[in-house]
Amino acid sequence: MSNNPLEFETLDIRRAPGFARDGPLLDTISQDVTIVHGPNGAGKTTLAKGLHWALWPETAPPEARLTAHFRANSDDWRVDIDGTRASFQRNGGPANQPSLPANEYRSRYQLALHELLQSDTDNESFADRIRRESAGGYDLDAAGEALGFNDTPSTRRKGEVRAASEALEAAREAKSEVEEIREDQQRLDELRRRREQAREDHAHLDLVERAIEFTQTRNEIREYCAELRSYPSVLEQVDGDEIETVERLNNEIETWKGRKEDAEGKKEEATDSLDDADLPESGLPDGLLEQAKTLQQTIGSLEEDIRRQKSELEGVKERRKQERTEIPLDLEREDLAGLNPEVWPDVEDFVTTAAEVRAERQLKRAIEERLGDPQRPDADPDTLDRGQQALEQWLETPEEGAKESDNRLQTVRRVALVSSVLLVIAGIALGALVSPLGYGLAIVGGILAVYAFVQSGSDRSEDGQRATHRQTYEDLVLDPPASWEPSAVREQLRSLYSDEASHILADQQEQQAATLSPDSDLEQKEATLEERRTKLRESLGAAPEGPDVELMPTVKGIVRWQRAHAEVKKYEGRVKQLESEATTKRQELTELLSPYFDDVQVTSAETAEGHVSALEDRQEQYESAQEQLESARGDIQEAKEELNERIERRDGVYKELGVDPGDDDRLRDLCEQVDEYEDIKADIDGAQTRARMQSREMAEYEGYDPSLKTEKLGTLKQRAQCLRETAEDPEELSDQISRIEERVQGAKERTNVEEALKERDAALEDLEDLYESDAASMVGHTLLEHVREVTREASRPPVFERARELLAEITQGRYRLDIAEDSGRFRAYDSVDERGYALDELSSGTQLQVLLAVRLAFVDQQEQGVELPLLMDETLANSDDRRAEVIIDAVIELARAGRQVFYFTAQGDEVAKWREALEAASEVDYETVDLAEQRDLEQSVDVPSLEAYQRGPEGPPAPEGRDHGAYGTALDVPQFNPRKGAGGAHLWYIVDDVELLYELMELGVERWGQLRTLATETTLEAVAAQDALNDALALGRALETFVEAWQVGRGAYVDRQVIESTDAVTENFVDEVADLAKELNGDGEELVEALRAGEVSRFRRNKADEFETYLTESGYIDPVDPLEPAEVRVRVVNRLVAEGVSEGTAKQRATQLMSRLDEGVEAMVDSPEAQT
Amino acid sequence: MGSELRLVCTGDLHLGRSPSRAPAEADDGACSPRGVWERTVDLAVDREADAVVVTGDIVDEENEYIEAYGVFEREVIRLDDAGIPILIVSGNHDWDLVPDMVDDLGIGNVRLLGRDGNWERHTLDGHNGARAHIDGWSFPAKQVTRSPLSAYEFDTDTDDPVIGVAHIDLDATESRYAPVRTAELRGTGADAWLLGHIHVPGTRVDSDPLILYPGSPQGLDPGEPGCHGPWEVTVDTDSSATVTARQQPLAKLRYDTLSVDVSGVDEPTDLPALISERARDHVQTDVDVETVDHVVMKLTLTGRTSAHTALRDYREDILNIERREAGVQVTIGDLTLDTRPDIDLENLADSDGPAGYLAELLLSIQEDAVRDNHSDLVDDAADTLEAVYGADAYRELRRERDQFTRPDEEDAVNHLEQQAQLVLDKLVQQVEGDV
Repeated sequence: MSNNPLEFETLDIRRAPGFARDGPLLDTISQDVTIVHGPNGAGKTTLAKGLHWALWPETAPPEARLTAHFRANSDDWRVDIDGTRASFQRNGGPANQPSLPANEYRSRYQLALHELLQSDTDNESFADRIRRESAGGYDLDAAGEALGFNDTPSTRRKGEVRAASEALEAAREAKSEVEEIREDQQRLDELRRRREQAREDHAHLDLVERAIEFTQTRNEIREYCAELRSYPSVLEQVDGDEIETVERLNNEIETWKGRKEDAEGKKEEATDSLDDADLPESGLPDGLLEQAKTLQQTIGSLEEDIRRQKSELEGVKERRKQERTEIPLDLEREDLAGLNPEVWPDVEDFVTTAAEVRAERQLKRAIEERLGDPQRPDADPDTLDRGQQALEQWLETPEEGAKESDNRLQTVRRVALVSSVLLVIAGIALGALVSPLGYGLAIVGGILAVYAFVQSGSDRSEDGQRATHRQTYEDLVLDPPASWEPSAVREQLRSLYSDEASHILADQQEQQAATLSPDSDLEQKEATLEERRTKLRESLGAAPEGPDVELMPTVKGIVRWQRAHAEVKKYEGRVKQLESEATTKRQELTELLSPYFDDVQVTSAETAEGHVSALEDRQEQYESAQEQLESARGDIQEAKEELNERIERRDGVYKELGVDPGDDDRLRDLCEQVDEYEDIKADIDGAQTRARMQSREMAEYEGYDPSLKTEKLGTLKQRAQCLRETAEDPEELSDQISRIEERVQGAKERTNVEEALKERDAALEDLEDLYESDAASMVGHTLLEHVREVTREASRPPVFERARELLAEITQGRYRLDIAEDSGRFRAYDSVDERGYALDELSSGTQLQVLLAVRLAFVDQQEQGVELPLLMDETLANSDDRRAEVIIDAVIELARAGRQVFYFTAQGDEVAKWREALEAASEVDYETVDLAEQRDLEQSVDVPSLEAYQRGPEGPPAPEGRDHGAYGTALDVPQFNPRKGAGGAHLWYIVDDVELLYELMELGVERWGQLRTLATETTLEAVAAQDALNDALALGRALETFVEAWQVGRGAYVDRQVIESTDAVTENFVDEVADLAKELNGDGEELVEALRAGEVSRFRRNKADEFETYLTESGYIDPVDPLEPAEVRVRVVNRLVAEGVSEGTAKQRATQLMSRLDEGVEAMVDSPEAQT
Repeated sequence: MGSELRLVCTGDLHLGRSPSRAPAEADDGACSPRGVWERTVDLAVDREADAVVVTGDIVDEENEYIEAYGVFEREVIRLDDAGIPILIVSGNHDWDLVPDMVDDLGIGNVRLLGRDGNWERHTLDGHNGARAHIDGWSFPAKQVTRSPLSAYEFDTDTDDPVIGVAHIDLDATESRYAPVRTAELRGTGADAWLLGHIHVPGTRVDSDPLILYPGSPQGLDPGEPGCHGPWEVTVDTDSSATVTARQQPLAKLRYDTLSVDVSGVDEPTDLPALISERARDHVQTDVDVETVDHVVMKLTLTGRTSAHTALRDYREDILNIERREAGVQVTIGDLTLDTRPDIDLENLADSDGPAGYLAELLLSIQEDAVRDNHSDLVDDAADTLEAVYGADAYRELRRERDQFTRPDEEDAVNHLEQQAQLVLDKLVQQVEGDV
């Protein structure tokens, strides 16, 4: 605290915002306290600001115009401000601005109500300052916060922890999976053994089942046999169709009987028919009828021939007549007939021969005319041939230009060949068109052609000596060539070819001429012909004249007539012969038929046919009857035989089965049984077959024991059942084995565990990092706490102590100033509720008190250099009278210490409060400035007179001689609720001295919490009875011990704030749960039970559990048993002793305290409604 | 070629596990024990090895299931097809699994030596007439607290070389995994010992006898840094049974440690470039880029820096630093911030208030006087760590992680030191900020 005040003497604001001219004026300023009052707008705030503008001109607005005078450091100062320009004078001379705290600190001196409540930033900066100063200027919290220090380790809800748990779980699962596989793998041998056993068991089960089937089959056979024996043995012979056979035979017997009767009827009819035929018993003789029919046909044929011959005769006669007209001879029929018919062929031959001779003669003449005499060369063909050869060989012999000559020779031969071919064609043409001789020419040509062709081939072969060939040629004495040059030789060769052809042609002519008749023969023929002509004319006599050719028609006419005549004669004779034969035949037939007819005469073919036909009919009737008779006889015989055969068979059936003949019922009965009988036999056969098969099958089983076949069925079934129940399914076991093998193989090919372990290790590494972080953070926190603890007491700033003291005084001990470690903000601890509150949780009045205490403390303690005036602007608002009084007293104390104080208000009662206090205070001057009056305003503040001013409500009743108990009754002391703590206990419980009690209550101290705070933060010097006060303080602390002991096993009070501080109760349920808690006197345990019991609907049980955990961990539920009252008392006594009370007194006072509390406590416990 | 046996030796395959903190790109099987086992078999087939020797822990006990040994079986069949015998001893991880696995396989070329903890000698005839005796011993139980060498009784005074194969914990007398002293191995007279159990590969003794831990052919976590892969062991049977071993770096993923001094780095944003540069240098100098595809760094930042506290905020950024150098992907698998704030503790310790207290605390820790000067704080910090350790959130860690042990006073002091540095750094910044 400095002793260098700065005191304003005047302030004249000429211009300011809101005051264009003649602003407010302070001309009567007390050096201690100046009360400025006036209505709103009168200029109070402008004055307050003006005081600061004068001290810190840089904060003045440009329009500000003012002059102020003040004293500081015994100097008189004047400041003039004109907008942005400020000038200072010290003791009349110009001076620099006086040294003052920086303008940032000016808010410390301005305690305006609205600013106090709104300037959070300033408040925090105050708190921050206090904290830092507590640490000697260092901000440990800031350092801790920056370094991330914390006092609690991470929880399991932390990401790294969760991740590690999950990774571990994943690794465990992965391990578990492969462990499972390994276990499975280890089971493989056992499974394989079991599979083998299962296969054996099933094989044995199969065998036993076969044995069961076999035994069942064997039993079936026995049953069938027994059944079979119940049937008659004769059934062995019964086929089952015997009754049908008998019935069928009976039907056939009846049929045959009918047929026999029919045959006998037919026999009778045939006999009658025979009689009608009227023929001998043996019928007609064999062949008679055919003979008669032949005769009849012969007669018919003859009569037909006669008619046809007669017709022919007439035709021939007509032709003869016609032929006669063609004969130019006048001869009688007999003459004509007499002509020698033998000549006529000769005539014909003569005529033919004459024609041939004449033709021959003509041909001969023609040949002779064409051929003439053949021309032959001199040389004979053979010589010519050899000459040709010699010349050809000569030509072929190569010499000079052999090739050329060879070519030439080839050319010659080609010419020869062509010439020969042409000769052939010419000959053929001549032969065809002119004479056959032409063909001869063609033949010659052909020969030549063949030769030429042959030569053309041979010429390409060997050669010889030309001289030799020439000599050969010359030796033949033929015409030599013109020269022995090839061309000449070839010419000569062509000549030789020509000569040879001439020979051939002549041969041909001669050959042709030789084929013709020699002239002598032809003449002979002509002579013979003439001779015959003569003879013929003679023989004919009447032969007409004319060439030979004309003889022919006459002769042919005569011949044709003679022939017709001869035919007439022939037909006439034939008719006569035929008629004779017909007559004979008719007679024969008449004779043949007469034995069978009474009167018969065949006169014509027609009558013959009638008789023969009648006889034939009779014969047919006879034969038919005879046949029918025979047939009937056969049928009768057959019927008899069949009848006998069937009767015999039918009777045989009866006999064979031992049944009386005709006893068809018996027979039917047997037949009906036979099927069943046979079925049984078949069943037996089938069963026996099965049994054999089953026996074979059983024998094929490994380990088969033949005794199985003799086992009883029951035993076998029991064994089978036992095996079925115990034998495992080998397929299922195989499947299991396969699955395991697959899993094992699959596991060998993957890395799940490795991956999971890797993830786990990484997660654990992260967790280790988190641990390191936690360790660093928490060790850092521990370190900071330690540093704070070690340095705290030594460096706690006086400003903080002063602020606490002021707050305790202002609030009568109700609140204690704290600073939140985490947020660094001011807090107020309610000593009655025993709970801390943030500023915004306090009522605005309490909030103002806290902040005012801080400001005042700062002003009081933190100032360096000059002491600046304190400006208070309606700062008492929201304070009740008692608190306002405390604040005023505190400010008066500041003024008394030398600080100038200005109080601005528009409230008249505030002015009155100040006046009352200032009047009572000694050594403190004050002035009152009425701005309404000064500025002549219509509205003014109504300030009550001191006499008229009444302090607030009445205080507590005075003891007025009452003893402690009676005074308590008069005070209506509320019952004490130990669950809520000791702070709220009425002072009556701990203050024995009623005067002291009254005095404290007069000071506004009514609860133990208040007294405790005041005792801690202030000196309580004002209290007269210090001994009694100390007794009360000791008993108060004993009360705290009582509460602590009482809460063991019971827990602290659960109120709304507790409920709101946990997530276990969601916002929706807070009201209901808080109400319920209140009903239950804040008993956490009962509250949880009530929640579980559903007293708050829809409150979930798991949330109740969570709530219970929270309450337990936070001390609202104490799971241990409550202490016995004696134990509580001992602790209270001990505490009193610790407070310096003698043991005896302590016991007495403890008893006294507990007896005061007892009734209230019990009542409170039993009846929560009774609590305050 | 003279008479020599060519063996391919590996062990501690731990099939069924995956390398931890590997980048997503390495999650393709090639960087797993499976992949390196397949490549080991490729190697044996390519080199026409006379045998493949596996020194136990084929399968990780955590995953001793069909899945894990499926791949082993497949490759064993491939070796059998190539006519290469496989000689196995079981380790503490697979002592109960390998005998069954070998029996199930039923392949004559696969020999489990020393079944049930009884030493067994197998005489190996090589391709070119070379011959050696392979003496093997297999784990008979999960734990063996006595040296199995006490029962070793084979005659090593033979003309043919003798190679011992066992899964043992060398020179760790208190070990529960067959503790054996080097002297014991020397005393057997064997020409070489091929061992399993220690994952870090290397020859413990170069000769007389050669004592080789082939190690895990694939490092499985940042605690197994360096080059990994099977070994080619050559036994010269002509001369004095000289045994030599050469590692084949077949592991495609490699762990390495890298310490970077960030003194003078005041801006955390400058760190990625610095770290990346150091990673590049490391790859270029220490990594076989022909065989390695991924390097996972265990990075430690040291030094005094004004960015000490700010580095905490860049932790994720640093962890996300990735570099590709010569085809090798470099990632940060683990980060330790071992920096100190750039504060004069001595001066500050003279002042009152929190900063002075913290400075004095840090000096006490450095001077190992914290227990004397701040016993309450140490107790409180230990209690706090105990509370964290016992928190429900870490139940799984307590259950699953053997190395997640109850914190002790040393842990508490370490945490206090780290947090005191951070808080002090912050407080100093507050004051400097006000200025």
